[in-house]
Amino acid sequence: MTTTGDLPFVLHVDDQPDDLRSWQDEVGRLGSIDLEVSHPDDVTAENLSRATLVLVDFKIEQWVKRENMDSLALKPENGFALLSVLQEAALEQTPGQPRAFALYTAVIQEIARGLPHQPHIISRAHNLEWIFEKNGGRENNVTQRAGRVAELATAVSALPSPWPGDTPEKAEDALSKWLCLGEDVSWHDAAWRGVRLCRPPLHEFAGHTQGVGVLRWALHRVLPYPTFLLDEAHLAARLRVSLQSLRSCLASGSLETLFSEAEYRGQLSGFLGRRWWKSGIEAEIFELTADAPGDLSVLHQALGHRVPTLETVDEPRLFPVMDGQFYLKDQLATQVEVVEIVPDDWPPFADEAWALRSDLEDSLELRAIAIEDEEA
Amino acid sequence: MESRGLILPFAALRDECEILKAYARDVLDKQTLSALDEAKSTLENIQATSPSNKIVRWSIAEERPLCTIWSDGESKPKRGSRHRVRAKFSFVWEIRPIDEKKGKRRKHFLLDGLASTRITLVEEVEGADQCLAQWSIDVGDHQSPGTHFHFQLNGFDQPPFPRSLDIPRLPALMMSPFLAIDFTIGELFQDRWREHAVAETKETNRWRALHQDRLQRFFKWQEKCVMQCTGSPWMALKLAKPPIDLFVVEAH
Repeated sequence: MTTTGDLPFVLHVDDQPDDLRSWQDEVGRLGSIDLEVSHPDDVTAENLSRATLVLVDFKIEQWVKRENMDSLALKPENGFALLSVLQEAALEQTPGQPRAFALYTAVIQEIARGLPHQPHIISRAHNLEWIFEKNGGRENNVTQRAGRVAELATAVSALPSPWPGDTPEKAEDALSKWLCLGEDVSWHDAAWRGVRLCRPPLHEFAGHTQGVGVLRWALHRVLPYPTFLLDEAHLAARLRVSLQSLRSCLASGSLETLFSEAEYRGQLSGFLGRRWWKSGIEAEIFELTADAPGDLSVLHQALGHRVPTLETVDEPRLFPVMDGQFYLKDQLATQVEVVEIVPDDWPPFADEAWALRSDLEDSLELRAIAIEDEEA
Repeated sequence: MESRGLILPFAALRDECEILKAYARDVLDKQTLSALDEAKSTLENIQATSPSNKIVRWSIAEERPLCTIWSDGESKPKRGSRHRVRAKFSFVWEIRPIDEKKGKRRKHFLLDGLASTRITLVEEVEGADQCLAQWSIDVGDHQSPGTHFHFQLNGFDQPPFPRSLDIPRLPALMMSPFLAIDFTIGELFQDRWREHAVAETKETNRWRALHQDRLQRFFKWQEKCVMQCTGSPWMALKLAKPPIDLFVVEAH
């Protein structure tokens, strides 16, 4: 395995390593990964082959040896270019080892090059596992960022090596374990069907990428979207409760008992915020409304009884809505307020995306992807 | 073995919810599609956890129906209708899961009790939906008069077809709630749905695979009723009750 001792090893390449000492300390305090910061000149075959995760800064300006090269092909222009070099070098050295590559940058707007400023979208466009925003970004203080780096490295380490793609059963078992889908829950079969509907690359692609294709599928195609896992906005919409009250209840822990079994605890479970198994939530709702499945008033009575601070909304349906950068807004909308949108990269297996009809006026991006029902 | 009702496979009905969403996507109101997801989840949970000795209501609630988009003249070929209408679907099936041998996953449920799919056609009058037509597609029980699978039109407070008059029961095919939706969409969008539904696409292929066997079994049973009857063939059809395992594909 790619660790020093028991810890996953992260190689962080930056043109000014000394500027990252406090970052290194922050990561070190977590105690869950071993991180080394290297100037590009100091990257060795040894530390590259040990790495579970390679982070590279986007702007690489302090690199004298590069500047002295005459040949353009020997001058990686930026972190994207350097990452490509390192990806291929690592593959040559240790072809059978799972390893993730990520950019670490303060200029996500610059590298987005017209794409929405969302790490999973830009990463996917650039053949990377992830892009970490080092200054600011959403929910992105240094401690959270260090935690996410550690979580990504740990998720790579948790991939079976080699990926067991020789039989469907072994591959499915490997993914099921990586996702920590318990076989003892009543909703296991429904959850697994939900996973399969999202087309995990379990076989030739997982084998080809040493399982990193599975990790990338989770990072790029599952966690950012409403799929077999739901975020808090989609959970609130399903329960027909206000998003604010759900967040308060989650923060105070008053919902822990109710949805604890359904909470996703597999790899990357905290990477983009908490997630719940959709089938687990459906099972809980079914149990709460056992005598009248699907009856919202019964559901709301049951929720009110268990969690009085949860603010129910008397609407037949509620919809999470997105802004022009395809981030979810801090509100839920009603049926008459929404229009379906289809962003270019929206997975066909994900639940529908919605925007406020009133936002179309001011957002060219949303207007371009809004789908009005014919004759609506 | 149960003695009455109809045994149906969980998987096929679950797949119907899932496939209909893709198959009829273009003519269903996107904002109401979650009704199909919720129906699917409810069925999965009935399969997984409901006691086998208790009837459970599986439904799409009338107050949160699945809807089509508006059909503007398309209920006649070449957009020849003067009506601009859309359909709302709800259903209630009273079912209970059937336990398999010990340690085996449940595969079937018993439909025995209320089994009614309601279709309401509405038009917009002064910004509100006004009912233009309504019918239900029902599955009878062991003592219901009239054909076991039938349409009824009695959803109204006043004549014609007031609620109190529960005839006629017009003969129907065996229609799951989702096949009933397929039927209605075909009526609302005559040309468009014909073109869509006869095409060879991934969705139509999956939809056909789900319904072909069930319809075949239904017609064979009806044919048998007619061929083996002694009195009026019509009365034979009217009185016939399907064998409980008519739609069980594998030996139960």
